Amino acid sequence: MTDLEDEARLLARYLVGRDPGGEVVERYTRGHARLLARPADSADEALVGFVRRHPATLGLLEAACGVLRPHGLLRRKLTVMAAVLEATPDFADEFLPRESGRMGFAATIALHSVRAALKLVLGLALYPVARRP
Amino acid sequence: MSATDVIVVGSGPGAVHAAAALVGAGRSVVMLDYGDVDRGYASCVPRKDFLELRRTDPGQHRYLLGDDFEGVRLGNVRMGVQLTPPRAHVFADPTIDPVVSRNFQGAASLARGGFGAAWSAVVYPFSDDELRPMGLDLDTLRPHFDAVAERIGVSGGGDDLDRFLVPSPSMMPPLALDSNAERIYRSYLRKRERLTGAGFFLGPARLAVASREHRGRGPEPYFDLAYWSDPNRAVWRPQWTLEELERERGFRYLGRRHVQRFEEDGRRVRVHARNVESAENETHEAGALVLAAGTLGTARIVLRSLGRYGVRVPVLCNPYTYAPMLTWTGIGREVRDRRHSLAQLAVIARARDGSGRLVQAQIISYRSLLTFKLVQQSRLAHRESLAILRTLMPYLVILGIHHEDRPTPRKAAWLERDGTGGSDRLHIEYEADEAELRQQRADVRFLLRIFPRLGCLPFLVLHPGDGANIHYAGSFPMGPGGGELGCDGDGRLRATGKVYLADGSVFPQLPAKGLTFTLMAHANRVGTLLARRQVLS
Repeated sequence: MTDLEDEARLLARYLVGRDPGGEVVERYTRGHARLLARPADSADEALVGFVRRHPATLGLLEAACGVLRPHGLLRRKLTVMAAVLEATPDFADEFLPRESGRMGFAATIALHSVRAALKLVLGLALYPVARRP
Repeated sequence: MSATDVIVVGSGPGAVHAAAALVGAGRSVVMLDYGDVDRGYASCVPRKDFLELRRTDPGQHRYLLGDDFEGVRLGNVRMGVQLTPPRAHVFADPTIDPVVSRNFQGAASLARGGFGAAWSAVVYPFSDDELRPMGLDLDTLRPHFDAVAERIGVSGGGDDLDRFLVPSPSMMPPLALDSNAERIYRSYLRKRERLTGAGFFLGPARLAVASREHRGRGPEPYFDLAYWSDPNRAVWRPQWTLEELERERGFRYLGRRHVQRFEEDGRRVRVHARNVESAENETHEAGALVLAAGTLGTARIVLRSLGRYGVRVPVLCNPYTYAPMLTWTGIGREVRDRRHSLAQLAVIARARDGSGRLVQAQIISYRSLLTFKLVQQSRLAHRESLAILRTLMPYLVILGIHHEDRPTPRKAAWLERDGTGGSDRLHIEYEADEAELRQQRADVRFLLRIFPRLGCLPFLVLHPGDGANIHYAGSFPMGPGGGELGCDGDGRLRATGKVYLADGSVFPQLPAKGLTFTLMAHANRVGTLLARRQVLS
């Protein structure tokens, strides 16, 4: 298995909590070759390398990147994987609108906002270390 | 060479209506067009509702993302953000007719149907005040609005917007609103007196969409697929009128022709084009020429033909602002899946500065343009962002605000000759002044203050950048006065004897609304007037 295939599985599991299957992995590697072929900033590459070595930090670091490097390499990779998953019927429901009652709506927004904020705080602390080439 | 009355260049919204008026009056027309077409994506889209298709079609990645992932555009919101792989061909390969600019998103279309092949279909006839700078009035243009409305099929009308948007006799009933729009509109109707008193008017958008069967098209099936395919051909595209024209004896379509320049002698116009299939140069001759290659394409052809390299001509494009809003009154209520994808409601408001200007906007519900595009723009972590956006999306609407545009010395285009035998480069400089930006911000603030009263909570303001909404215009303005690089009252380019312009080039300024419908009416008028001339061929 190549590094890119490993990366595809890591990103898919992070986004939808499931293994993506060979078809999605193959499509991600094609998308990656088409959209992310140009060499990236060395600090961005270092950060992706750090995430590969420490997969548990993916959520924290991409939260930090959302503020500091919103269109940097790590988030671009996540966008490509999100696009591939969204265009696959098995995962489509994970991306389609979800209706909720007022309480459910408020709880979902509050829960995920708090989680995003916590991830951001921890991610910002980790970010300088992870980007060290 | 057979005797041709008129050559029409291009196949977009202006071209097909100029041609239709000419052919309808018995004139012979040759249309020269590059004619790029969809790579076959649209025909892969099953005839199903969007949600059903998403859950069931294993081939959806082809048309949702594209074979070369052209549907995944990484980075900030910019020009063409709403273009999907089945519509991506409307943007020409930028190496064919290069546009150079530091800050203006200038693109050409060489598609069959031009940019009209991906038009948002919102119909905004210009008002008397808005036509005046062209030396026209509503009475002059009304028969042409009506002719175009009949040809394309327009739905809507019978509401508060009628006083601003002249209705046409052939108009069809409005399309059904989706749940969000229905709530906003109901809320408006309850508060109508106070809101209209404040100069704010709302109604279902006038759309070039057949709400019932019309000229063999429609009705709208409410599959929410307008960005992806053309079910029932309910949404008008220039290609549908072009197909009608191709059935007429007096009309000939010559595709894969890249028009380079024209020249005139006393009686005839010669058009030099390159056949991109055979790589041969061709010359076509007629009694008159209608240029409708899109504002930037027409600028290139005119400046090259007249040898005016380096000469600056005006360029305009409506600035645009997006404001996503949450329709909080809908939370917890039923959301209907059956919907169309285009603008649901249109807003017209009187600007607060007492100038009499109109501020205009439209409201769409965000669903069929895919969630990953929104997640990408969010600054939150993807996973949380996805969860939040999925929860918001049933109640998410986007307010798209048009701003007016007027010429200034810092909004200009000029052509640079390529000395190496390559394509000439069209340079564009575009810089709005502080007063314009201040006015735009004031208009946005005004609208965003009204919407909370209609149950909508705006939570972001996005500027896709100058040139992003592709309403290019103003290079050879029509109207009284003006130099030889302007057009007379018939749309004739003054520097020429028999060359007429039938696209956005002729608008001396842009009101805060889409120009496409008025552009089509102008083109119909150009064709009608030209057909009446006695000697053409």
